[in-house]
Amino acid sequence: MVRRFNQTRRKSLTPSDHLRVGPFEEGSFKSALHSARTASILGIALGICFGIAFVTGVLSHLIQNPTSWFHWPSRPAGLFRITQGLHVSTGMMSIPLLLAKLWTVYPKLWKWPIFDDLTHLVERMSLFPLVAGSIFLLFTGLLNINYWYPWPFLFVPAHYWVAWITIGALIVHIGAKAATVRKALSSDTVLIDEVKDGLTRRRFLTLVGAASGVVMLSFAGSTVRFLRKVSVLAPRDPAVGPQGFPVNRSSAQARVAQFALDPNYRLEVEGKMKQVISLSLSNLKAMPQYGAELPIACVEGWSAMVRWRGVRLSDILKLVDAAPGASVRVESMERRGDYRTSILNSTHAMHPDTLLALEANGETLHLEHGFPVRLITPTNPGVMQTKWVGRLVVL
Amino acid sequence: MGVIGTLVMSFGIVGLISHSRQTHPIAWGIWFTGGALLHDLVLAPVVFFVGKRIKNLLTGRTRLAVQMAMILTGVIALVSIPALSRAGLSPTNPSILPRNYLNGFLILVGLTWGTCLIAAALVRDK
Repeated sequence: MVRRFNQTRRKSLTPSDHLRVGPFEEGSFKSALHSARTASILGIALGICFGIAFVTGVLSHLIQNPTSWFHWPSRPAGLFRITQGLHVSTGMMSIPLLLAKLWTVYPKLWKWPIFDDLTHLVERMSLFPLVAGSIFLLFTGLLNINYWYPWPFLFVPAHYWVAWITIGALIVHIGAKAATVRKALSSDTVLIDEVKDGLTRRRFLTLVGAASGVVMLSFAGSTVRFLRKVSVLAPRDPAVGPQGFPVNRSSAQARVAQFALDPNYRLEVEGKMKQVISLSLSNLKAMPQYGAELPIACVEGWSAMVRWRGVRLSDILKLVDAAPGASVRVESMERRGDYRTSILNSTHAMHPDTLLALEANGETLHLEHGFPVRLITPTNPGVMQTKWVGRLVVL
Repeated sequence: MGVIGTLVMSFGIVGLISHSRQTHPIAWGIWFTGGALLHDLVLAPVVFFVGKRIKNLLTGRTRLAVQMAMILTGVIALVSIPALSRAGLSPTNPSILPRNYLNGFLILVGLTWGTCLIAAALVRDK
């Protein structure tokens, strides 16, 4: 099972041989690295990376789109930076793996005859969503962490739905290839055409593994602080930004400065409660202040640890006599934006570290970080840590 | 596996189409298909062409070193394109893409070539 494309042809389906030109010609691809064993090993590595990326990706989706059956815990505080760091890292590691895998099986694309029978045709066609989906996910993901959006669709829903398509196609593929993989990796299988010197299979696979490692390490410094000097390609440096940490959405993009810097700023608290109140900045400063060291962890895979200080959200809920178990919608003063509000379940709302932060790293919160008031809560992604908070609605 | 996989895939396709206001299925289809075609008809042929040249022009340890270094350089170049293009830069948010990525890229490629040359000099073939 080294070279399937050399199999004997079925006469009934063979188009005339003079069409067999270019890459279709026999012997177009000579390297013995195009073997089932190479493809199997790369396939398994890729399957593991895709599996981790899929699970952590769906998790991030569930956190941001709450459903009744899913409960995201509020500790340990760094949970999301770990799951999302894994998501981006396994995705980055998949890039060299996918390229190597496609290189290994590329001769099969130019198989002659193009298909043997109907089953084979269906099997070949089922590879299209797998290959196109894998390329699409890694390509859009790579551009997203670099904040580059050259396409007309929205990144998040497109990436999310293609993930289901790709994983579905992967399940079909695993089912179809399990026997081939088992045979290719069995020690009984005699490998003919093995490369004896130069770029052997082992060296090739080691090299691909090294490439995965290099790619991962050159990006991981966006979230792993001690790697920030090593990660020369990281689109973020966790120590670069106002007050020593990065910003995702600037006040100019949110068009929020006039409201945020208004000296008559008031935080409105309304919804299901006995008493509607509004608090000025000095009212908030007069309340008990608490500190919390929590990461700000973004879906793009960067994160930074920050010392926050401000008012406990639970104190405000007590102030307005909110019903126990209430969830809270936190609204930004920005007028437009897909992430201008976030909903906190009661566990997160009542957590002692969930703050309406007025300070970051020992200074008054910077406008770019959400002055006068921003939400910070353990384990939630950065997009849900609403900045420039203007209103709390008790649900 | 075939049935489960097909169901999961259908869930994705239905989701994609039913959220067409966000996913723009036609433009999406072009990017989805375009990526695969770009790989199969442009990137892969270039890689195979370069690979063949290296194989024909070089022998022994030099060939091994160049093969390894070229594979790594290709991968590093590919993942560096978004940062090198600086397309994500935001005039109001300097914390995005704060580094000199050309320097980083050149350092990585330099280290790669150095390491591959040393590795190829050290390997022992029968």
